[in-house]
Amino acid sequence: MVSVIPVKEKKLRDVKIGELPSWTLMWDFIPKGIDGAYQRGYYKFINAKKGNIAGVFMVLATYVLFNYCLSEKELKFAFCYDDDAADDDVYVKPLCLFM
Amino acid sequence: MNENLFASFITPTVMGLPIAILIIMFPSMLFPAPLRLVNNRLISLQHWLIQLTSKQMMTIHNHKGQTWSLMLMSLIMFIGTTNLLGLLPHSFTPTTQLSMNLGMAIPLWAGTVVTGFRNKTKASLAHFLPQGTPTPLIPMLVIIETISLFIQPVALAVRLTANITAGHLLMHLIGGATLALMSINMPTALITFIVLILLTILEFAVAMIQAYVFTLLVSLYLHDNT
Repeated sequence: MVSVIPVKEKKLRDVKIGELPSWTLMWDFIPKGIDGAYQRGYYKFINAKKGNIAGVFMVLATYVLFNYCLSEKELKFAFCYDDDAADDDVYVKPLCLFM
Repeated sequence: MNENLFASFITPTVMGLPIAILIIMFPSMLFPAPLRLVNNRLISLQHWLIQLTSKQMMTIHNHKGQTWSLMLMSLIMFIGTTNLLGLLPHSFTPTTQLSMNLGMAIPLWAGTVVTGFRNKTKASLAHFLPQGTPTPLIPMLVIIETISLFIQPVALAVRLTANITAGHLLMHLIGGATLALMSINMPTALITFIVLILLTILEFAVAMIQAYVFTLLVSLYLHDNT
């Protein structure tokens, strides 16, 4: 359980299971540390300086979600139609009456 | 089901505001501007594709015709990207609207005709009469050629609209059929699903081919008139 290299300097891959609590306590909870983590995430996922195909796919996924939100109202009632009911019964499933 | 089938072709509005304008401007976001001498991978790839296309399309024209190369290249990029984006789920394809395609076809065709009339009037008028026709047939043939000239923009627009709309409708129908068949007879549903996959591959091809055909025909009309 005692390791030679101090716990503070390791990344997640090198930390052993027993050292995990002390490793989480190592994180900087001050705003500068959170800001550093945010910046690293930003440069990795959003900043498109290298121009990967991943950036294009993210934009396309957002586009699909945007269009889904626009057409959600028409699509909501697709599952409500109850085909098994007889003709003079109510033809929507019970829960849909509340929508 | 009938109403659901055509619901995807309605121009989208959010509280009365037409979102279709934003959707038409969206493809331009996917082509970043080449700002540096040595660009990143994405921009270099797009640059190479555009060079390939423009060399293929514009070498047949003379100097006057090649002044149209910016117009024709933007046209093929716009129609190709819009058609391909329309294959994403839930998206709205502007090229399914006849109004937009007529708006693209009529000005471009009229531009080629007017260019021909202004610069080479005799040669443009001579197009109305093919060489070597027997004399009694001349009046009728002139009428037929005039009609075929005026049908060109309508044919351009309707061809694009009908192809894309028909493809989308077929995908909706076959997808609905697959879903309905799943509870009745599984092997048939699997076959229908394979048909759906093949149709999707066809749609990808059609999207790009239609853009190419549109642009090629405009360039052909241009070649006749310059």
